[in-house]
Amino acid sequence: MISRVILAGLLSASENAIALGMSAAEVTNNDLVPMVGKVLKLHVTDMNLELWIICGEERWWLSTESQGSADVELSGDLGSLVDTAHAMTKANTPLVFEGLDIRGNVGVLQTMQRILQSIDLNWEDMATKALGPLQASILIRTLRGAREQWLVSQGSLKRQAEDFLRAEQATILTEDHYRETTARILKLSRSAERLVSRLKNLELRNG
Amino acid sequence: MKDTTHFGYQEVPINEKTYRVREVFNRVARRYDLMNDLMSLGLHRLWKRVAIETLAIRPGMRILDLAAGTGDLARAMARRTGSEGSIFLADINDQMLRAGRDSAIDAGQLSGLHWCQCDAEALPFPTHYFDRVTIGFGLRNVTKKEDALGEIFRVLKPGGQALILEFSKPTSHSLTQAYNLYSFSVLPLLGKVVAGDMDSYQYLAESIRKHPDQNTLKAMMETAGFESVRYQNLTGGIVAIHNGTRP
Repeated sequence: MISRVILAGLLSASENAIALGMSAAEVTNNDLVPMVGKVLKLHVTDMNLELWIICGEERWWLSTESQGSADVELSGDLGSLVDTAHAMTKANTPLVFEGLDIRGNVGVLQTMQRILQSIDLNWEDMATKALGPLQASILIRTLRGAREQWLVSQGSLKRQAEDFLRAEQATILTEDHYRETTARILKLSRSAERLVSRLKNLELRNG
Repeated sequence: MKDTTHFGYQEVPINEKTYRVREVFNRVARRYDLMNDLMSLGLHRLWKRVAIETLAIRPGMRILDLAAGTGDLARAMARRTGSEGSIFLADINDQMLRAGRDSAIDAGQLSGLHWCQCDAEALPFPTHYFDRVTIGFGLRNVTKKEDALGEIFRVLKPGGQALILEFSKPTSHSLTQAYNLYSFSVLPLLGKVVAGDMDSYQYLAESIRKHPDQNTLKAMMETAGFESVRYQNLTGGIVAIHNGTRP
């Protein structure tokens, strides 16, 4: 279990990152007005984690402590919540995903979607401002390299999996296929047995 | 009737404790924030953050911060209550309030903050006035804790929440030993080197030991009338957060 104090540090850092993102995207306090006082609750079912987002006048706060009642509650596994978060940054995307349960005022979620869509982040510019040109260039190069490596690895894994399936398809026997074949063999063997019996009957009758 | 109380490990007349505590904080006020950072290795900021999270603060709330000291807890809450909210910073010690007011001015954060020098045992506020009342690292210095809890209960609105953030009893034996060693050897020395005052920090360490443990304080809150009283330990019980609701 993560220590409560460490978790507080992580939440604080995340809040600062969100605030930094909003500031970089020039989101003003006026833009946040429709959300002031609103509370969102995220329940990550597969991790049994509750995260609350409390919208203030100047920034949004995060909490793992209960904040009482929430205006809107999203409950689902991590995958569906990540999909929702991703969808919220894109225009004209419905917030409906398999395994996601939304309760409460969906209007709050749509308002938040509008605010998030207005944020167009240039993370490289932000990193340069925060760390200075030298450190930022090292970080950017490292992250770009890591991303390229990840994409190459992902593509290679996908290709190899497809090749394997294609090559091994002939030897792969599905359960349905097995059942069908067994039933057909059984049917044939019973037909053969019936034929043998008929022949024996004919021999007896005709000598 | 008992007419003495503890002041650290000393027994002093009841009417003398308030004066002595005030003297201690007069002496440490100037370096209080720096000392807090040094003594807790910066952890006090995270403890306060967790405490604030438990309060479910909303914009527009009216909050009383007792023993507000230099006001870091109050200022963090003020950012959440926004321009419509108000935070009253109360402390018995004017030097601490002055230091807090100066910090707020330096930070450019004055909107919604009100300073008030008063005693937690007799609050100059009407009944049912606040949505939340907090006291961070202050209850152990109050002479009559039951009276202060009664006053906190009185000024809270029905459904309002009280929060007590205070040093408490570590839950493991090994941590207790390390903590004792730190409190009585390192802490006074730090006080001497940084704040030029060894005795005050010796008192702080002693006053923590004399403070009621988690369950005793929970029972005291229940006796004062609070409902749904609960506590959570932080950093192995070195600090505990007690929450209670006024029915």
